[in-house]
Order: sequence, then structure tokens, then C-alpha cells
Amino acid sequence: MTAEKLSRRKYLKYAGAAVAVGAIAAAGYGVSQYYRKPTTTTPTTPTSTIATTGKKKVKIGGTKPFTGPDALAGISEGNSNKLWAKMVNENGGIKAGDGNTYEVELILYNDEQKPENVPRIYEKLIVEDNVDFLFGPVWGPLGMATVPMVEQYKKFEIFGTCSFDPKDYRDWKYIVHTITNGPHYMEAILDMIWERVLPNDPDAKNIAITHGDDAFRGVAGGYGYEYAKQKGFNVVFYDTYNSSATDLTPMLTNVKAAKPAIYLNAGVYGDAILLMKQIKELDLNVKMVWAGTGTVFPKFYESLGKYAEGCVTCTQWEKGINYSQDYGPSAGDFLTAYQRDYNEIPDYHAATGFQQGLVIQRAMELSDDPMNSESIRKVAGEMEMTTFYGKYKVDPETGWQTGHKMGVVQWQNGEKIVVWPMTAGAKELWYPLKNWSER
Amino acid sequence: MSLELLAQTIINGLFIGFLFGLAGMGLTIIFGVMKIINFATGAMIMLGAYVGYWTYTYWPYSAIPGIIVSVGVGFLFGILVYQVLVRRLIGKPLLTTLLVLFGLTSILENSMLNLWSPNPRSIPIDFPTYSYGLISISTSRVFVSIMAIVATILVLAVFKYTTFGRIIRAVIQDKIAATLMGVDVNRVYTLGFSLGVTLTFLAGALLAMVYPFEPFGGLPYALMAFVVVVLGTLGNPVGCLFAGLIIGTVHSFVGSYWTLNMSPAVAYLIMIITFLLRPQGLMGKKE
Repeated sequence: MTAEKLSRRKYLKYAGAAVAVGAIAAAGYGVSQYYRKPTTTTPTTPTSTIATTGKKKVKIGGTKPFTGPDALAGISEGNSNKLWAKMVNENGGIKAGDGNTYEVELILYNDEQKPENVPRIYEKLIVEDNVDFLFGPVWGPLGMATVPMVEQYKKFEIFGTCSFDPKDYRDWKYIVHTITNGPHYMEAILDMIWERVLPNDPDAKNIAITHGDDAFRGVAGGYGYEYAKQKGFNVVFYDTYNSSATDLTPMLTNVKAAKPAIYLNAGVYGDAILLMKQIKELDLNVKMVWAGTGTVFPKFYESLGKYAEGCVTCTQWEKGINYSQDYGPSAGDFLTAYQRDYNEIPDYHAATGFQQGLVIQRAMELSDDPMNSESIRKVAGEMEMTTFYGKYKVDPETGWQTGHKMGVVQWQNGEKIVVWPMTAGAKELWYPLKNWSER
Repeated sequence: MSLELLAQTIINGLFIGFLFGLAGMGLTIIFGVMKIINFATGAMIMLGAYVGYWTYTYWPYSAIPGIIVSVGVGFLFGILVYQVLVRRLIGKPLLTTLLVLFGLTSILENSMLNLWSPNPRSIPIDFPTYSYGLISISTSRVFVSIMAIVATILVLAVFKYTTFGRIIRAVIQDKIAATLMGVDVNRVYTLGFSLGVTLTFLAGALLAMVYPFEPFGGLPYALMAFVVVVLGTLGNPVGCLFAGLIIGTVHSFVGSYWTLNMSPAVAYLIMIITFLLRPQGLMGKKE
């Protein structure tokens, strides 16, 4: 028996053990996050605090993924949380229903997009920083991780770009949502096809739907698939992929074989880029394509250049969508302020962050007990308003967003053009797309 | 139609299989030479991709300079990592190696995060695609595959026909005897480790031509490389390439004829079956 053979055996033994231990540890850790009891927290330095004067103040805290795969979204949403607090304070504060005026103090931490960090930080925000209300993080699993703390300490929380499967809802009493939730993500695109495309092209009824299998993509794609079938679309191909997949060509080959007129994929930024590159490589020609929500980022266009032209995506908000609003700053004012402070055009995550603030602001204005989470939650569950972001109306019991509708944008000559809804100033839709060989 | 689907499935599988094989080859050479498992493979693949990408941003006319720079940086990086870190791990318990190289992974990933942000990157090189019905062949994939084959042939040629290769093989067979014959084992280890890292960087640079990548995106490739190494026999570069093609093809068939969702699971199942039924791998001799 040689030394090499012994080493190989050892390697196989240890590697097998390492894989098994890693899997058990990961599973155990994941389970523990859902069932863990509150523990003492270790102090961390907040990444952002808006200081206040000596007036009455309302303290709002939260986390965002300032690093990690969704850091772009986290930074945008955090920027707008800060912008909202700044604008409120510049205008003298929130004139609450109890007759007092409150300035906003904001504390934001970086959760590093790790769900295991979130309960600890939210407990610190509540117990040590003594915040009055909470802003939710970005991304469903992070939002889910806030729930045990929020419900235990009975603190009002307003979710931002964060959604999960309604099946996971468990009678939570202190959370309301800002965005159109994941199950309804695909509805705007499907509605647009049904009402704007199908009357001129019957072939548009034949669609393919795919999606990743994580908390967000699975919900958006799975519910979107059901919605498409209910609506009467002929779904010629449907499949899911592992959200960490590095190669989609096997699935795309089947999409190509199914010959859909339109291809919709519920993905995020990374798989949207991968999908577009591989669609081109496989010469998969469709009349319309949605590669995923990541299509909305300018980086999507920068990465793909001319091959991003014509791609559509749903969006919670976009520059160019105009609502007849009854509350808050106009879209123009928001755009100007955001560009002044951050030197970039805000994306929908930024707008969502601002809307988080507007919800708390409006609820405090309407409440006669504005520092009480129970009171604010009740008001936030009953009130309605239309801001530059669109309609806010939630189910009073569950807090799920029911009023806000998404729009659809399309990349045209390097710019995102609003193509749905028609009531929000939609422009011309490029349809059908040219074949890859003609681009 | 079904024959076309079959053909495209095989083509897809072979294309990604070459990348899996190349990623595994770096891992297997390092293990073959010094019995160290490079747990930082995933981060090194991503680093290779970033070096290729970074070069491309300065010379956006061709991917070739990016590949060359990535190979060069990989070789130097391998020497550096070996001299600073890995040299001290030889002969240490596997757990020490595992923890130190996981630590290196974390350092590399977070450095990439700070240098290049968390955004997935992609090299927008405009290679043409040729289609016949359902079958499409992208020239970028063909290029990547050719590069993988050339790299394998070069590695084999170095191992078989050069003095350096003979010395490496001598060290693999019997380190003490090689030392007694005047071989500087530390030097061989340095070059062996660097060669492995170079191949890992090359895999990254080629990957960047066809896939998006981000600082923490190396893990799926590293796991696939481990599967390929186990299946193709530890320390055997040719076995690695063949195993890569097998795993790539299986991945493609599972995705095309079942669901892509199950593709990684089937690959790991193959690894487990290999552990149980043929632990020496496809190219190894029964103990």
C-alpha cells in the first residue's frame, strides 16, 4: 500500500466528512435562525445616523445589505431612507396627530446580506438604540429574519424591497409592506402583453416562463406562472433552475425547442445577465424577453450593450411613471433631491426607500398616539395615499400591499422607457424584437 | 427535432465540461504534487476572471491579452501564496489546511468585493454564433474549449517530456528518494503549486468570456471542480478533463430532459456514488 493511496483514502474520508459536517451545520444554523431566542447583542457601529437638534424626535432604525450580492439595491434604498429623513428635518419635522412636531433620527446598519446577522442587529436597535419604528431590509430572507424580533418587541416595521411567499405568513401584527409583493411581480408584464400586444399579435399568447428557486424568484415566477394560466396564456414551456446555477443552456435549449413568442424569466441581476448572454449564444429568438428584475439596473445595459436593447422588465417605480398623487413630494422633487445628494438617477429601490419614510410620516400625522407602534400599525393598515411612488394601500390585517401596481420599462437606445401602464404615460413599445443576427 | 435537441444537449454539456475540467485540473495537480487540497479554488477562479476582465477594460479589443495576463498573474500569485502560506501547511493536519485556505478564500473574496464592488461583471465580447435549426454553436464556447484542450496538452507535455515534469513525477512517486537524488523539493512544490494556481486562473479568465461573475461566485465552480477531481482520480489531469466532460454532459442532460434545478444534485450524487463504489476514480487503479 503506497503513501499516495493512503493519502487518497484519507482525502476521500475527510472530504466526505467535511461536506457532511458543512451541510449539517448549514442546515442547523438555518433552522436555528427561525427558532432562536433573543440573545444579548454585541455593539456595532452604525453606518449611518442622521443627527437631530434638541426638539422631540422619532428614532427609526433598520439594516440594509450595504455589502453582498444585493448591495446595489441596499445602498439605493438606504440612500433614500436618509434622503427622506433629511428632507423631513429640513422642513421642520413631522407634524404628528398629537400636535407635536418630531424630527427624525435615523440609524442604519449593514446586515452584509446575511440573515444570521439580522435578528441580532434588530434586537440591538430595539433594546439598545431604543428606536421607535423600524425600516425593513432589502431581500426576502433578510426581511423574514426581522420578524421574530419585531413581533416579540411589538415594534412597527415598514418593509421595503422585500417580499416572501404569502404561505409563510403567520399572523404577524406589526409589519406592513411598501412594494407590490412577489406573487404579483409578473402581473404587470403579463397584463401589458394581454392588453397591449395580443390584440395585434395572436402569437403573443404563446409564452415560456422560467425562474430561479429561491425565496424571491420562486415566488415571483411560480405565482406568475399561475397568473399566466388563469389569464389564458398558452404556456408552452415552464421550468425552474437552481438559483446558484452557473449555466442555463440546457434549460434554454428547451425554451428554444418550445418556440415561444415571448420568454419571461423571474431572475435577479446575475442570472439576468447570464440568461441574456446564453440566449444570444444559443440564437434563441423571441419577440419579447424579460430576463429578470435585474434588467432594471443601468449596469445591465452597461454589461450587455446593444444586446440589452428591447429587454423589458417590471419595476416598482421608474423615472417617467407619473401618478396623480395626493401626498409627499413630486417625482420631480424626489429626482432632483436624490441626484443632488447622490449624483445618480434613482432606481426603484431608492424610490421604495423614500416611500418607507412617507408611510411612517403619514401614519404619524394621522395618529393621535404617534409614538406607539400599535397605533401606527393600525393607522398604516387603514390609510390610503398616492405618492410619486404610486398607490399605498395594505390589507389591514396582514399588512400585504394591495394598492401599489408595478410598471413596465423597456431599454430603448440606452434608456429605460416606460411602456406600461398606459395610464402612467407609457410610450411606444418595441415589438417584436429583431433576431440576434440582425442586431 | 428530438435529434437536434439531443445534439444541442451534448454540445452544451461538452462546452461547460471543458471549463469544469480545467478548474479541476488546477486542483488535482496541486494535490498530486504536495497532497494539499486547495480549498481556495473558488476564490482563485474568480480572481482569474477579474484579472481577465480588468485587462479587458484597458484593452477592449480582444480577450487574448486578458487570458495571458491572468495566466501570468496566476503564476506569480501561486508563488506568493505558496511561499507565504502553503509552505507552512505541508504535513499539517487536513483541518489546519482547510481552515487556513478558507481564511484565504475570505480574504480574497472580500478584497475583490472592495476592489470591484459586488456587481456581477461580464465581458461583452461579440463572438458570432452559427445556427442550424435548433443547433447553435457559439464561437466563444468553441474558443474556450480549444483553450482548455491546449492547456491540458501543454500540462501533459510538460509532465512527460521536460526535466521539470520528470522531477515533479519523481517527487509525486517518492519525495524522500527524489530528495536523496538532489531534487530541491521546496522548489518543485513552489512550481507545482503555481502551475495549479495558473490553471485555476486560466479557468477563471476563460469563464469570464462566457459567464458573468462576482466576488462570491466561485463556490459553485469550486464544488464542481471537487466533483470532477474525485470522479477523474486525484492527481490525474487527463482524468480530470474527461470527468469534466462527463459532469458537463450529465449537467446538460439533466437540465434538458429533466430539470435544471436538479442538475447540481445529480452531480453530487455522482460524487457520492464514486466515493462508495470506485473511490480511486475513473482513471485510478483499484487498491
